Amino acid sequence: MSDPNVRLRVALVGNPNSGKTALFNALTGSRQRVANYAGVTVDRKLGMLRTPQGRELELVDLPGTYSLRGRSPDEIVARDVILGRAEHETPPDLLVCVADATSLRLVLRLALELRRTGRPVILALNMMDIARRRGVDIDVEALSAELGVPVIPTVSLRRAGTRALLEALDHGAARIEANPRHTRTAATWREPDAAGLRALDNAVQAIISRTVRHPGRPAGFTQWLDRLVLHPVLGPVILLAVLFFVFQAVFSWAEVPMDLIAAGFSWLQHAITMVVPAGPLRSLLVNGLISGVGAVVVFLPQILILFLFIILLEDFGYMARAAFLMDRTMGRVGLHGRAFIPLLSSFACAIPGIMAARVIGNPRDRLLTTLIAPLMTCSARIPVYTLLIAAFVPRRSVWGMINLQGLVMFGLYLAGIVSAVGVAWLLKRTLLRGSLEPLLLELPDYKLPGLRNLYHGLVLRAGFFLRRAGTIIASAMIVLWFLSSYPAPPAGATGPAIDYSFAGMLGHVLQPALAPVGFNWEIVVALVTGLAAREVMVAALGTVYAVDAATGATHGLAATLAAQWTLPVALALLAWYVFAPQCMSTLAVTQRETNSWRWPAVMAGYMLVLAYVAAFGTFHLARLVTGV
Amino acid sequence: MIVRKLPGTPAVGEHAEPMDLTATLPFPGEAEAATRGRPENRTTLARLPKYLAAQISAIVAEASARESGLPPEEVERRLVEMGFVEGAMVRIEHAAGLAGDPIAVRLDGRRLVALRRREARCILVEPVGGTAE
Repeated sequence: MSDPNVRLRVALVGNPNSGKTALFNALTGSRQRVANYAGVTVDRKLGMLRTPQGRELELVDLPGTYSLRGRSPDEIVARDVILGRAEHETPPDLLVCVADATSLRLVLRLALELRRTGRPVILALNMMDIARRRGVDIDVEALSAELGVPVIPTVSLRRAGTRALLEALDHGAARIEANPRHTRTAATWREPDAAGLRALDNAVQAIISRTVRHPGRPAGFTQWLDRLVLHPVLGPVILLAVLFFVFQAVFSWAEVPMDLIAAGFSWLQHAITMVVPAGPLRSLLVNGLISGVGAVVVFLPQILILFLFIILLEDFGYMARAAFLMDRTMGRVGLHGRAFIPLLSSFACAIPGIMAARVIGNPRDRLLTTLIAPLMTCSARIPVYTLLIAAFVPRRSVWGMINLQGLVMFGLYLAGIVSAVGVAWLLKRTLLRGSLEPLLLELPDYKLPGLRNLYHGLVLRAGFFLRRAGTIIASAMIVLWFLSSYPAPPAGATGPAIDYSFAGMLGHVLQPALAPVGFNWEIVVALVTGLAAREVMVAALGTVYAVDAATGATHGLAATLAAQWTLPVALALLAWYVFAPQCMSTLAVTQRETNSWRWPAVMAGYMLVLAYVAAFGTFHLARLVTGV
Repeated sequence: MIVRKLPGTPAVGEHAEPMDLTATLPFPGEAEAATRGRPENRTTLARLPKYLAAQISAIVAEASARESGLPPEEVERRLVEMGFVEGAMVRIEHAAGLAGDPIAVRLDGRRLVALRRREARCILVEPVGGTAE
C-alpha cells in the first residue's frame, strides 16, 4: 500500500455534452469544490470519491474537449492538465475518458490520443441506456480489446450506474500502487498533422465497424423536431417565441421572490435599527451594507430563472440549434454563431455572459463578444429604468393599446442591442479586424435534461453570484458608505448630509464635466456610487434626496425626482444608462478573462464615450422638442 | 496618331482584364476545387442539393482558408476532426434561414453537424444517386 496521504488523482476527460459533468456529480455527490485554474478563468472542479475498497481518490472534472490539440482556453486547460504541463496542477495518475455511447466516433479518437500519452486510461461508456434504447449495440468486451483499455458502461443519472466504474477505479489504482516506478511526470504527446488525424480516424472507423452495430437511422424524434426547429422560416419564428417566453418568465416569475427578498432585507434593516443604537455602526450596517448588498441580491431570482432556461435549453440540445439559426445574422456584424448564448446570458448580467464567451475558440471572436456583452440590458439596469420611467413617462396608452411606459422600456432594450450591433460592426473593422472563424458545430440528438445537472448548475451560479455580492459589492458598499457619510455635516446644516461628505465633494468636482449632458451634482454622486453595481444608483439617489428608498418607498422617490428634474434630464440619464459604463465588476471580469488591462480600458472608454454622446444628444434634442 | 485615353477607361484590347470565367460561381476558388477530381459528377458539399446523398472524395482546404484566416492545414484538420473524412457519407438536411447558410449535414446517416457553406466547399463529394428517404 502506498502512502495513504498521497491520494491518487483521477481526471475525467471527454467531449462536450458527453454527460461528463453529470458523471462527476454522480461520483462525488456533494464532495466537490469549484475554483479557477491559475491565470485563466476556466472552472476547476475537484471532488473526492470513495471506492468500494475504501480508497479515497481525487477526481478532477476537466473542461470538455474533442482532442488534445487545445483550440480554446477550455481545451488548452484540459490538455495541459492531462499532459502534466499545467503549472500548480498535479498531473493525473489515471484518466477516465467519458464517452457518449450514442456517438462514439469523436471520443474514441480522443481515447486513442489519451492512450498515447502513456497514462492509464479507463473508458466510461456513458448514456448506455439511451444508446440501447436507440438500438446502438456495443460489444463492450471487443471494444476493450481493440482499445487496450478497460471499458465500463455507466448510467450517470443514477448512482448505481457508477458502481462498475468505481470498481474499475479500484482496480486501476491498485495497479498504480503496485508499480514502484510510478511517478507523476509530464506525458509526451505530439500534435498530429492532417494525415495523422486521418490515420487516427481510420483506426477509429475500423474499431467502430468491428465493435458497434448501429440502427439504420438516427433518432426519429430528433429528426421530426429538427424539421420544425431548423426550418428556414419556422425556425427563427420558434426561436423568437422561445426567447419571448423566457424573458416573460424572467420578469413575471421573479416578481414574488424578489419582493420577498426585498422585504427580508428591509426587515433586517428594521431589526438592526431596533438592536443597534444610533450611530456610525448602525448607519454602516443599515445604510451601507444591507441596503447595498440587498440591492444586488434582489436580482438573484431573475438570474436564476434565466439560467434555469439556459441550462434546460442547452441540455435539451436547443442552444446549438439557436447558434446555427443565428450564425448568419450575427456573422453580418462579425459575430460568431456561438456568441449567441453568452450574449443571451448577458441580459441577466454581463459577468456570466462574459464567462460563457469561453466557448468561442478564436480569441478575436471571443474578445468581440466580451466587449459588447455589457451593452445587453442587464437586470441591474432595470431598477433604474423602472424608477425613471415611473417618474417621467406618463402611464397612458399610445395607438390604442400599447402601454407607453412598456414601449419606452422596450425602446431602451432595443437601443442596447442596436448599439451592440453597431459597436461590433465597428470593432470588427478596426481593432479586431480579421475573418470569421469556421463554424463547426455538432447538433446533438435531443434529450431530456437531467434534473441533477440542472440543480448543480443553478447552485453553482447562485453561489458565484452571492459570493460576488458578499465580497466585492459588500466591500465597495462599505467604502461608499464611508465616502458619503464623512465628513459629517456641520451642526445646523440644512442640506442633505451627503452634500458635505467626500462623495458630495466628488460630485461637485465632477459635475462641470457632466453639466453639458444636463446632470446635476446629485446625479453625479449617484453615478459614482453606481460603480459598485449599476442598481445601487437607485439607493444612492434615495440617500441624496433624503428619501428612504430602501424601505420600499420607491414611489416617494419617483415623485421627488419628478419634481426636481426636468424631462430632458431624466431622458438623458436613461440614455446614459443604456451604456452605463461604470460597472466595476464587469470591467474586473473582463480584466481577468482577457488577462490584460488594455481590453477593460477599451471597454470602459468606448462605453463612456457612447454614454456621454447619447446623453448629450438626448438632453439637447429633448430640450429643443419640449422647450424646457 | 495618338489615342488619348480617358482616365480610368482602358482602351479595348490594351489593358482590359481577361474575362473572369469563375465570376458566375458563388464562391471564388470553388471551381478549381470542384474540377480537380476526375469523375464528372463531382461537386462540393456547398453546392450539393438538399437531401441528396453523397460520399466525400477529398478535402481541399485551400478553397476556404483565404477567408477564414486560418492555414489550409488547420481548416482541413478541423473538418477531419469533425468527421468529414474521405469515404464518409453526407447529406444536407437543413439550411438556415432564407440565405440557406449555414447548413446542417447528416454524417454517415447519424450525426448532425452544422457548418458554413464557406467551409463546405472544401469538401469534394460525389453524389451516390437518389434522394435517400
